Amino acid sequence: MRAGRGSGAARMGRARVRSSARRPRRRYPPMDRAGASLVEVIVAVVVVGVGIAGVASLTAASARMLVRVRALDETYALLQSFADSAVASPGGGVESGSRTHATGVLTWNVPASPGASAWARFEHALLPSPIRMDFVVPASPGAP
Amino acid sequence: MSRFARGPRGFALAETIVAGTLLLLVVQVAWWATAAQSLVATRIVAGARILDETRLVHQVLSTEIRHGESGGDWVVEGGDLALRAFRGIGFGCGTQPGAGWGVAVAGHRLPDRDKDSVLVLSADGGWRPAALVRRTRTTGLQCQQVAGFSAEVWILDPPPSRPVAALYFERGGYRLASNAFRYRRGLGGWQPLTGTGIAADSSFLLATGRGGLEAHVIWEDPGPMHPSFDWKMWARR
Repeated sequence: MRAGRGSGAARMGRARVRSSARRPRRRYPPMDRAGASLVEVIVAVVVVGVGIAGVASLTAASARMLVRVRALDETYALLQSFADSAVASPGGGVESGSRTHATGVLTWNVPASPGASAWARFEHALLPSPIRMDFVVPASPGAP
Repeated sequence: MSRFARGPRGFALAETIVAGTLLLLVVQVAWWATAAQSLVATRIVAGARILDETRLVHQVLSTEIRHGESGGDWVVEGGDLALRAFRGIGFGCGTQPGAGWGVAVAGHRLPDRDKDSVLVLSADGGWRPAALVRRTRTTGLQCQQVAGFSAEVWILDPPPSRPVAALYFERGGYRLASNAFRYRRGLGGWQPLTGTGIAADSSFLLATGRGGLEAHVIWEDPGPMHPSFDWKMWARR
């Protein structure tokens, strides 16, 4: 065998030599790998933290809403009870007054004259504004 | 050559350790937060369900007794509320048929002679019960033209004397038992109107003076709020 036509390994070796001779080896600037990874981790932590805070905020808002809904239910039940009581016994109570309950203050104005408009208002401690109910005291109990 | 190029392996190891530690920390915090959120969300959902069903109990009871008369139309016996559950109203028409009583009727549902009786208001102001023997739809009577009302002819037993209006009702009962708020029609079985979870041993219905009804409902589920609800209702008749 002649040297110029040697084995396949020898040919590949020459090819590698030629190739490296044609393309000079480049020197890339070194990457700041440590800094980039830390930034990524910090970004990930911030993203996860914001997500957790968002979900926690939604849950807290739901809990506050639940408390407010209960306060609204209590207020409605109290005002409805007062209105029904006033309608059941027209003219039997004080025209206007105020009473303090465990959860707030009830204020009312029920004219003694039958057929007149009456109202009751409850200021619940957990509600931002008082709730008022208007009703009419009929001329006699049970009248529509 | 910069210092990064000189020793990339050492920095890579430090990066791995820091990143791994932070990743574990983030995963742990996220897992803990998710578990806590899940618990809180579950309690909020349970609380919303309790509020919803308590609202139902209040609405049903207050509506049922509002148009009734304490002692006559409803009574509390042994913690059960037995009542005439009014389902609709009828007003006498201006013209009357040859047989029966012409009324303009509206209500939660149409009258059913198999289930309903009638409480008739006479011109003298008295209320008298009667059985609904037959009802037929009719036209041609001069009745009040009110949206939702339809004209019918009722055959009542006993026939009413100078009737003006009537309420039709079914016999029913409500109770807080077997962990739920229940209703039964006539002498049928007690059907739950709410989900289970009411502490029936501690919950009760109680008649108060002057035609009032007091309800005390306690829920077993540990929710984010106090599980006790109290309110009073009054009959308007």
